[in-house]
Amino acid sequence: MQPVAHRDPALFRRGMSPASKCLIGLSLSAALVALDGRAIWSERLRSALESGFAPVMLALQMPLEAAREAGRGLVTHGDLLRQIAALQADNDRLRTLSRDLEWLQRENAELRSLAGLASDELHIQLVVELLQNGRGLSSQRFLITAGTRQGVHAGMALVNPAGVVGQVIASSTNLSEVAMLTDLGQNTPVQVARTGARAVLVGEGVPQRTSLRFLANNADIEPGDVLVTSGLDGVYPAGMSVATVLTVERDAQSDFARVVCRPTARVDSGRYFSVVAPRVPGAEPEHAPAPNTVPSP
Amino acid sequence: MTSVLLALAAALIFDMVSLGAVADSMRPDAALLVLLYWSTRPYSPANVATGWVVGLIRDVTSLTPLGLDAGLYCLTAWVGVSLSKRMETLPIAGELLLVLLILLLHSLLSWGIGLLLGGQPSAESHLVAPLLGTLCWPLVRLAMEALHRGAGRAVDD
Repeated sequence: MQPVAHRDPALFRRGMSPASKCLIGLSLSAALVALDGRAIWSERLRSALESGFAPVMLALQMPLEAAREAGRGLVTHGDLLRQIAALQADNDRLRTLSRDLEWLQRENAELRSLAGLASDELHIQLVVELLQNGRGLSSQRFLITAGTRQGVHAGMALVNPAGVVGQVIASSTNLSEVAMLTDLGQNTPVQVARTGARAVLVGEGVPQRTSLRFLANNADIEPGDVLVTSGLDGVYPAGMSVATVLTVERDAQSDFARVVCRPTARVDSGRYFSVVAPRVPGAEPEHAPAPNTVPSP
Repeated sequence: MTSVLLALAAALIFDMVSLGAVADSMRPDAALLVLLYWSTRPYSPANVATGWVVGLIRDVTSLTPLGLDAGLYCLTAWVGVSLSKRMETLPIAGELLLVLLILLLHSLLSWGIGLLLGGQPSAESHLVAPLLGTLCWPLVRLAMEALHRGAGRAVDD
């Protein structure tokens, strides 16, 4: 076989033996893995690399989005009529609920002001689009199309109409990395809507599955119970739907019950999410409209 | 040289395209297959350093901890370079078996590291992806040979 190139650039030049290069590469990799997320320069390196690849990832989205749009366009007249009827029914139901909600919100605000409590309103910062899903160990993370330039910072929460999706864990100029509720070690303070019992919901790195920690073995919880945010962390507003209890195992040998839950929001589907600013007592969240994001409905 | 860079860039871009959650977990790693092809070719400019750089790019685009894929790709490239002379003498069946073993080794290491880091990596997807990768190997080989011939003609012209 003929040589592929006549002159090799620095990246491909052969000098050291492959085994020595491999050892150096493995040592560098081990150091990078050990420092990933711990050292500030490691975060900056990732942020710089992500910013470098952002145009490629954004460019890749265009034909894919066009193909999706074309796919959506291929519907029959009958399908459209059925969809309109379903949306109208949904709209009527939501308008009725909205009237009740307005009244409840007003009453809640009055009660909170009487009790001297901070407002627990949902402050939607902007609506963002999913750019790239993680793979392997990071399959429960994804990138969104907004970063520090659009006012998205680490610590902000991501929600969709069904409930809480996850939390922004790192931001570069135009991109942010989001850890879903199901991401390994992702903790969310919750409470059981039916009883008010508090616990911590922990991600296990597995799609559509989380578990409850630190819930006493004799706690009043049963399959089908809805978990909502307790608002104790200051990240998520209280009362947002988080997960539904699937199974409860009580072991006499353990102090805590083993509770497996499924997130209410389909965190691994959906393309658009709302970014919610963390609740800072006594401070109004900044509102930063983003030029390359979808306007808030 | 150009053909190697083009092939690696195309494979990395292909890997970035999402095919859905289930398909993504099972799909063969195109960048790894292309890297393995070039690292097992005699006189190829792709080497261990190329593997490390490609792995680092994969770390960024797949949101895995920085250095994880870099190390694994670097190791796979080294295995490829070390076996390049033996690979040349093997019939296609033997080559496929060797590719399957290398891909399984890569997958096993990735699975083991996932467990060590506290994750619950799926054993099925770590087994299916190398099998599918081996099935795709003849296609990768044909595509790379065509690319190489095309680049060779361009240089001659």
